Amino acid sequence: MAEKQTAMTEAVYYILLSLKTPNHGYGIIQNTLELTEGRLELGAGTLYGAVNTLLDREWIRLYSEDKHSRKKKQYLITERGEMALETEIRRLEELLKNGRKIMRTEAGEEVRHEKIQTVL
Amino acid sequence: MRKFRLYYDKDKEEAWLNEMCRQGWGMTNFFLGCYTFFPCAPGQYTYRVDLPDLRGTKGSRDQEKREYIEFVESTGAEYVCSWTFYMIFRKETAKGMFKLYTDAESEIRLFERLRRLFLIVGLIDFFSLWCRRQIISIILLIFGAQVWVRIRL
Repeated sequence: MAEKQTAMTEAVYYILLSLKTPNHGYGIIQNTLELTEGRLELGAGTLYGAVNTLLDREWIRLYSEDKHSRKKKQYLITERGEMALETEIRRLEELLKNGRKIMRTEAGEEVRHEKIQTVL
Repeated sequence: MRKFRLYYDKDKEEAWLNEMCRQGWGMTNFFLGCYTFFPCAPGQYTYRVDLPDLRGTKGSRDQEKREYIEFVESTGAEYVCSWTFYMIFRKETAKGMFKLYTDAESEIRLFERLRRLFLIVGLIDFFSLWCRRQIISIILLIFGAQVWVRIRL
């Protein structure tokens, strides 16, 4: 796919991370809650829509389906999904690097100046 | 208790259902704008209206609907009722926050689906109103003719 990858939504990002090992819908919600320490609780409708979109894009695939209990449909990330995740992580790292470089060094220098003055 | 209301706005419908619940009336069913309420503890539930983006062909869509309901219920909510794929869920307020859509992107898509549904329903209503008038006029015509024939005979 030559299509340029745009920024992922938080939901998509955490769904992909949760599917490094086979997982089902409710498991994804729980895993995301744990990873974000309770900050992000994915709504069922949001998760359902995102999972369908990811299946269409072949970023995830159906891993297993329990015929006896329909709610246990498990999904797993695909190679294409992992590549998308790597691209997104690199993009996020760039954001973070630039943010830190500009915000922290300015603040850091001020602190250093103050320290030097107190020493003097 | 039954109440008749017509909503073309999901947010207003949700707000009304949640307000009724605060007053101790929990919605349990609806059909053609007629809502059924049963007494509940004031504020016992949070109600949510949904129109999920169900996949599959005509035949597999009902299966998909059942799976979706099971999935929502696995998150601690309760399925109340539905009209085709227009569904209502509720969750006990004590069990925590209840939202089906937690980001702007998915909520926008929900509103797009709702708008499409209301447009189609509106067109069908308009068309059937027009048809019914034709039928009523035909029925009246036949009925009138019979009355006229009887009087004459």
